[in-house]
Amino acid sequence: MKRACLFCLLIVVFAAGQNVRAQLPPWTRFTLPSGLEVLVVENHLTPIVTVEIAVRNGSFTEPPEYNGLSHLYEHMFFTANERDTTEDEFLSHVDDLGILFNGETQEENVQYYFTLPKQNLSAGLEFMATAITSPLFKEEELHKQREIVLGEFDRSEALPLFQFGRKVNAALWGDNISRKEKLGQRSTIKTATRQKMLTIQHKYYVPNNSLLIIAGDVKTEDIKRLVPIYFSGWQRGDDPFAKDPPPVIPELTQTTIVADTVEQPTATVMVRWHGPSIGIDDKGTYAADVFSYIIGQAEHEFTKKLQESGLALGVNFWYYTQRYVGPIQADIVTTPEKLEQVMRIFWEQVAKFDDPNYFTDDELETSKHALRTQILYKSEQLSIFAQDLAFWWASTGLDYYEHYLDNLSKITREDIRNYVHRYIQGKHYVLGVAMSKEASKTVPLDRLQPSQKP
Amino acid sequence: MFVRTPMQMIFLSRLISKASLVVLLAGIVAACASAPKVTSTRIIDDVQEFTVDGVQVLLRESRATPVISAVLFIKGGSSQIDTSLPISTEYFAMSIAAGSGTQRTSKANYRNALLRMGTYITGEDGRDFSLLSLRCVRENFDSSWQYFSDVITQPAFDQVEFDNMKHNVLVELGAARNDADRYSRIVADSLFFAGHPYGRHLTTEDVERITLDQIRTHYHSIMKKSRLLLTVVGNISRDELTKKLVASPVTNLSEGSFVEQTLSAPPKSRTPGATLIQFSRKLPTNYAIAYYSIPSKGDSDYYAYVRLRNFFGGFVYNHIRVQHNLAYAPNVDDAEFRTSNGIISFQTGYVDSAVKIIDEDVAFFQDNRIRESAIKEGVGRWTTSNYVKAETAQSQAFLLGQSKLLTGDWRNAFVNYDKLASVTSDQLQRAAQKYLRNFNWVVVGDTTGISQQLLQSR
Repeated sequence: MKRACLFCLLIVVFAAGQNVRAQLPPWTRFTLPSGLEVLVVENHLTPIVTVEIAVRNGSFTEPPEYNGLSHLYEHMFFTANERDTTEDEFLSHVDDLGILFNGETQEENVQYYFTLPKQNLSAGLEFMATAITSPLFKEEELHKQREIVLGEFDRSEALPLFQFGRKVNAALWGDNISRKEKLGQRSTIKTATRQKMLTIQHKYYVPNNSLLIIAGDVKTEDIKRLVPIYFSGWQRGDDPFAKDPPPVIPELTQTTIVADTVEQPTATVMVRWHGPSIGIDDKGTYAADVFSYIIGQAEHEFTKKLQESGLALGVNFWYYTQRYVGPIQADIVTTPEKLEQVMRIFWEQVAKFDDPNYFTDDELETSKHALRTQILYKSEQLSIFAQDLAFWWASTGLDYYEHYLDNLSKITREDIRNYVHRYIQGKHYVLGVAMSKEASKTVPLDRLQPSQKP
Repeated sequence: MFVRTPMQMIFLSRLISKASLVVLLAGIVAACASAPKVTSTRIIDDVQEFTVDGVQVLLRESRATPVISAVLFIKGGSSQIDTSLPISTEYFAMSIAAGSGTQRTSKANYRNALLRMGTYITGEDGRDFSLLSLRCVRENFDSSWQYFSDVITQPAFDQVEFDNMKHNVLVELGAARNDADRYSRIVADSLFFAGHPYGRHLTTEDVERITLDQIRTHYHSIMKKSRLLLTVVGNISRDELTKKLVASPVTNLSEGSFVEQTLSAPPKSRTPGATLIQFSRKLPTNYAIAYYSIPSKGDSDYYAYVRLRNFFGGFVYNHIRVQHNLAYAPNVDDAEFRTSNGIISFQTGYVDSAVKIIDEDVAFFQDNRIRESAIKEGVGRWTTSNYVKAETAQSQAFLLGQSKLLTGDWRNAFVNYDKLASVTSDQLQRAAQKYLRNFNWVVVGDTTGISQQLLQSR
């Protein structure tokens, strides 16, 4: 599943940290002997509770023959298990407990979340424990879910820019595309077997590769008592990444242009670089976020010259935090007649990224003030906040997340310059352009690149 | 995965066949025992309602949240706009007012100040009312309120913002035709509300003729106290809010003489219809959507229909997706306005088969009486969604005001379990007979071979 909007992710990036921890709902972490990490977030505003399990699974664990199966597995979670032996029974149980539920598969995590009345917490924990530990993967239900996922594929493919995005992604990740394409491939989904589901389960769905979040109108002491009752039977497994770590994604060795035809009045541009990775260049990830936020301000020249000028309909420059190479992404929408001018200005701006005067101290400080309040808004909606916590746990670990704003505040101009030099300026990239067949005849692609090529 | 509310899922597991109603209902009774009974007053029961110098106010004082949200509702909305004006006038007016700065503060200073404080001021239009919203943290409320009241009374209406928005909207209108999902909804909406005050829609011609002067004049013409309702949720007392309002230019606005227009049912809601649109490019699936008339919040049939929609939505989902794998996300939903409509939607390559199933489900509810114990015992499932809706100060402020304007009482903001539980079998069946009909279908995609006659049959 996809987050509501990619830009929101950027905002989420800033929605945590030591500086503002005091204003967040209090949380407590503990770990069961099995290795299951548990995070309890207390908030007594409304008498509901969200129970969530996140697993370090997703496309980053998928070789080509498994690409898309983390997502299919996520669908199978909501079908039969040892207690509810059919999908109907499962859904009936959901009804009985008053559960709102959903699941989400991303590149580096898979999440399952239930929100339910607090009176049903114990039953909800038992339900979650049963579902996560004892899926049956019935053949008939697997067949059904394969068709449903293919239906999801159909729906995505009907979107005008879906295929364009996949082509850009393919150029950016090359042989490792399966590790970054969370929806996967039709052929893999069509041929998915029960055995493959079991393989995923045994390898990744182990407590020492999972996080349990309980957020809402609960008492931490009660949770400490209840969780072992329902989850202690979940047996520790091997570390899934000890013997089989995800492959190292090599740097781009060439710049690639992806041109696609989409019959619409706009021209859509995607520029992509390989950005920093968690665990390898954490400082680079902080610098990336600070920098993206600064130039995204409405009064910064990057946004003013491209968007306020009326040249672009929309511009978004952001870094997607990932452990295994987070992409730096510029998305621009304009009209074909303005495309060349937009790209000339875009590359002029990129050339200025390391200019000491490119942003002011005031712009930096303004960002810090604004970020502090973002967290308050985010944490108001606990059922969603739990999903953000799970995202960060999977890709960065909770320590990174807890100290996030504190580390952002330490980022200097020099750090930002290093980030720009290391990942953007003079580096290879993928440039994707989609516009109508007619328009593409009038816009030479080589004029959409910077005058000085890497 | 997929998003579904519990309201759409009742009956899912118990349905074996349509002949097994007794078994089905017995199952429901047995399985619903754990659903908590909660009365609506537990969601929100501490709203103060008062008037300050002619401005109507709803306040929910909550010390538990550091956020204050204020929503200024402007009654009327785009459905009551003067027909000589472009329909986009109110849409532009609200957006440009919120994004331009004020007569006292330049756009750049305004933007920087809001960003520094983490304050959001936004504007949007609607069919029945339009909105200006403020969201800020308590410590910045004084400054934020100042900007908010200036936006309400003396926005700058920046030419650059206007030109850019106009350009963007025109391009977007063109792009919508290439997105089958959006396009199907636009067409369904246009056709269903043709001849009704909701029936005017954004068009290229409409947007092209709009001017900045028009939106400025229109904005000031609707900022009259008789149109305004201010809802505030957060850590602020009645006394403090009253003082803020008295000292602000908002209470100096003229009274005006707004009278709500009476709305009748859309003419198209009286007959079934089907429009098949062959899409400009090949799609892997078809987009099917049906509009039909439903009772609005506050109508005497409202709770009977809400309960029915819950059962019906569960049937549709279960039969189309779970039992027959015909579509990824079949859905039955409501669009709640002064004139509300139901929406059935799904994406599939098998439109005829899916529609036949829906027709059978409709017939089931029209021909059978659902046992009242089953109706009563499932209502606790609304608990979770009610509370999820109430999670933020902003959502509360919106729902309270919306309910006040649509029903005359903020207490209707959340589903009332007692009213829901008191729906009778007869009421449910009558609601099915009265509302699950005259579906106006629109199908976008490869429509070859789809039976228009079948779609128009109910």
